[in-house]
Amino acid sequence: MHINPPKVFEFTVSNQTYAVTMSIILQWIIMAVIIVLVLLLTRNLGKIPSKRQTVIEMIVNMFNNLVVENLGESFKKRFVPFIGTLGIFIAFMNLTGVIGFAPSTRDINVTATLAIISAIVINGTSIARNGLGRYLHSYLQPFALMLPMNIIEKFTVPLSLCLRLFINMLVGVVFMELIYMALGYFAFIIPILPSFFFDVFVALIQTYVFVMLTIVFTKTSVEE
Amino acid sequence: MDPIGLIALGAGIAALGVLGGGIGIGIIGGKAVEAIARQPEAKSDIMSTMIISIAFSEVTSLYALIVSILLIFVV
Repeated sequence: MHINPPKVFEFTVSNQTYAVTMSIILQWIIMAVIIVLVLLLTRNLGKIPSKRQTVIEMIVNMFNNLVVENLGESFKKRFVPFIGTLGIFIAFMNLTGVIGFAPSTRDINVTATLAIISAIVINGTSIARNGLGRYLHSYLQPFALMLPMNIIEKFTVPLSLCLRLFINMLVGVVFMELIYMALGYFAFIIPILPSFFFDVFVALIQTYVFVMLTIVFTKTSVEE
Repeated sequence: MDPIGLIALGAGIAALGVLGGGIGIGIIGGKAVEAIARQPEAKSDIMSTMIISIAFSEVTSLYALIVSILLIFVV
């Protein structure tokens, strides 16, 4: 039983050793796959959509609606690319469990990075929309004594985002390994159902939750 | 004394924390059904709010589960 992702190779830069784990290799592969898919799928788009184009338009429309319904029309141009990239990347990372690799999101370093990116976007949008003065003033809302609570809240938001995704994926990985361990040589057909639940259902729900919470937190921080 | 028995006991007690999350998700689901029955046209809004609430509620029980898993496999 290994909870940490396996190390593939490591390199040393000025006496500091950096380990490249399986989760990073998987992310590189996923990035390459996404880039190739985007290049292949967006070739010769036309006025009359083909089957391929209909599917792409459905995905783009889904993210468009998600942003417009929750944040409003003015966020569409800046926010849809970020939310779409985040959603597709996390979905691909979560779904690698289907083809037999443990999802890289079960590594807390990956989810922590994603959560920090989200936190920067959440606070950056608030500063860009309201100006630095009003952003700093929001720390004193509803009254000045709440300052420590507001500062703590800025750290708990990315922490909970990171832990939620990490724990959900880790629990899936641990459960599946336990099921395979318990079944031993009889591990056929029976693991399909839990595998479908953990690797597909939970993975997609958690992707949705991560993207949705980023949107909701952005909304509250902009409105404050 | 062999500590594995005590570790297993501690893991079992820690996993009791998932009770709270289960009750919470049950209440959320029940209320969502009530809300959809009252206003079927608001179904999509209610569903997305429900999934977000479930995510908040679920993670507390998962914290308990992770304590239990850490006790078994890491300690």
